[in-house]
Amino acid sequence: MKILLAEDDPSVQIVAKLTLQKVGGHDVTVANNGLEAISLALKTKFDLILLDGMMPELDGFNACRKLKANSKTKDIPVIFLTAKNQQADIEEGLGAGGIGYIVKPFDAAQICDEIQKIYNKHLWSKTA
Amino acid sequence: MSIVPKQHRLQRQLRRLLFILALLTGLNAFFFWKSLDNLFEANGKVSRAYKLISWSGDLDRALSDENKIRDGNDKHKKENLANLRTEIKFLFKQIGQLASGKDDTKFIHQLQKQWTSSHDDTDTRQLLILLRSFVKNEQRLLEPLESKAADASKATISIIVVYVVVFGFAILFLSQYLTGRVFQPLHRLSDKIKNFQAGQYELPTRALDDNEIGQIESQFYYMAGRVGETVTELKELDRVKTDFISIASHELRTPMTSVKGSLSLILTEALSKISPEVKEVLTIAEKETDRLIRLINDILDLTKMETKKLSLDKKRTSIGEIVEAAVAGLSGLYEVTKVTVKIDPKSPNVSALVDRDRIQQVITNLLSNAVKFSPAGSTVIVGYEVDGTNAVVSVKDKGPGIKQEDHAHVFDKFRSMDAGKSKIIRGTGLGLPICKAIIEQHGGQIGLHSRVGSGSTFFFTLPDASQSGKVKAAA
Repeated sequence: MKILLAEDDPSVQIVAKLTLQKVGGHDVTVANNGLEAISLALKTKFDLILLDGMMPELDGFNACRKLKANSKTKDIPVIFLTAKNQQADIEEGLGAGGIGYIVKPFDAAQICDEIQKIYNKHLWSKTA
Repeated sequence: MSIVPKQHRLQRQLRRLLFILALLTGLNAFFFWKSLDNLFEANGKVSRAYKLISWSGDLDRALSDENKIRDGNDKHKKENLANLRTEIKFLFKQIGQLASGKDDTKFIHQLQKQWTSSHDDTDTRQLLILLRSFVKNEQRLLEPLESKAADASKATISIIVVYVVVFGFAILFLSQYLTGRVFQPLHRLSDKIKNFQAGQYELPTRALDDNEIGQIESQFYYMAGRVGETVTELKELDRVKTDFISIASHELRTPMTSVKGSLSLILTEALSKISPEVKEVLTIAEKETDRLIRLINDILDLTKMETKKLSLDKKRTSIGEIVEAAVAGLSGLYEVTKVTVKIDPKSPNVSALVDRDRIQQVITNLLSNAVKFSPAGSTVIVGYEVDGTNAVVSVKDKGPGIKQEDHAHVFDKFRSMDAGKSKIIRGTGLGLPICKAIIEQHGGQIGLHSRVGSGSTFFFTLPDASQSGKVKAAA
């Protein structure tokens, strides 16, 4: 899968990218914030976008809203991968158009499975 | 600077008003008394004049009778005459006493003297003529007296009417005064206090009236202002706490994400193969990382609960379902510890108004502790029932038990009991304080029965329980 990962923390960027590549076998592009993610999504076609919640320039929730408002990017599924674990945050993420919500910290072995499960469920719901 | 006026205006004004009212009442009473005096005096004179006329008439009749008896031939003539003279004497005496004028008294005495000394008919007739003239004179004098008595009656009635009207107006004025100067400011102050109670801290600094109520109003505004400042400070403090929870939550989880992610990634061996020794050491590091993450989560959870930031999503939920979910969630632990868990529903279909996830968190925590402390081969019993209006959930283990003196500290933060077998999953020391906070936020209570060597039973209550779909009335 061609995945766009929007994450501002350099350490998490490396670990998450390596995990998705090495464990999940995905093709990963990293964006440093929400604005960069939108810009990259408009240029390249991705199968999935992973958004952090709190990022400089543009946070994950607003980035998701903008992606969903743009006809070019609205069909790309978005999953939140964030440290914000409040029920209100989860509701905000799903309300903004996300198809799933994964709370940090994550386990390398489990995160790839989880992402795949959410993605498959989304595909199934679209074709059903 | 004092904002409280020193004057006692209201008291002074009320005192003046009552003084005027008392003066008016006094004047009225004086005139009323005078008027009544006149009335009684006039009535007395009229009554005396009537008596005088009446007795003079009797005397007139008696003198005529005396004449007739003397002229007649009655055999009791002498005796009758003597009786009549006694009566005439008495009448003269009475008339003499009643006659008020000097001339009248003199005239009556003269008549009496003349009558006593004379037994002549001509004299008697002359006496009668004089007496009748005296009566006529008295009747003439009576007329102005009657008129005077009538005037006095009218004056008395007028004074009573004036008194009633003046007093009525005074009462009306007093009630208007009290309404305007006392009750309206009090109602205004009462409204302000109600608004203040409802959280409206923006209040004027000065009262409208410069009197006693104004003083109370000013004092209230001053006090409310101070409370308002404190509330604003507390709100700010509360906001800082909320921000802290949010920031701490994010800032602590982000580095943990890198650590946990890195360790788990290495352990998957997706990057490269690792030796068993490296794997063992990294597994310990990962386990401790997990513990640290749990600790961070627990601290943040407890902080949220203690600052009432944790919002409960309460719905009527089957307690049995929550218990089953909690028991199923820890199935991996039973294999490791060789402990069996049994569910004991003492009352069927128990439900309560709860946040399902939070109550499951409590049961999971209590059950996890019970299993960790129980000897291999033993059974932990999770029971639930309805007791009055409460749902009661209990977790009973066959563990070592807790000393009586430690019971009071079981729910304190970082007061983990001697772990023993619990090294399988080390606790954070915040599990039971979180359970306590969750149950108390639900309006319930948490406690334990335990004796060293006899195991422990942890229990909690949840209010507003129902059974078989019927909600029990709250106590």
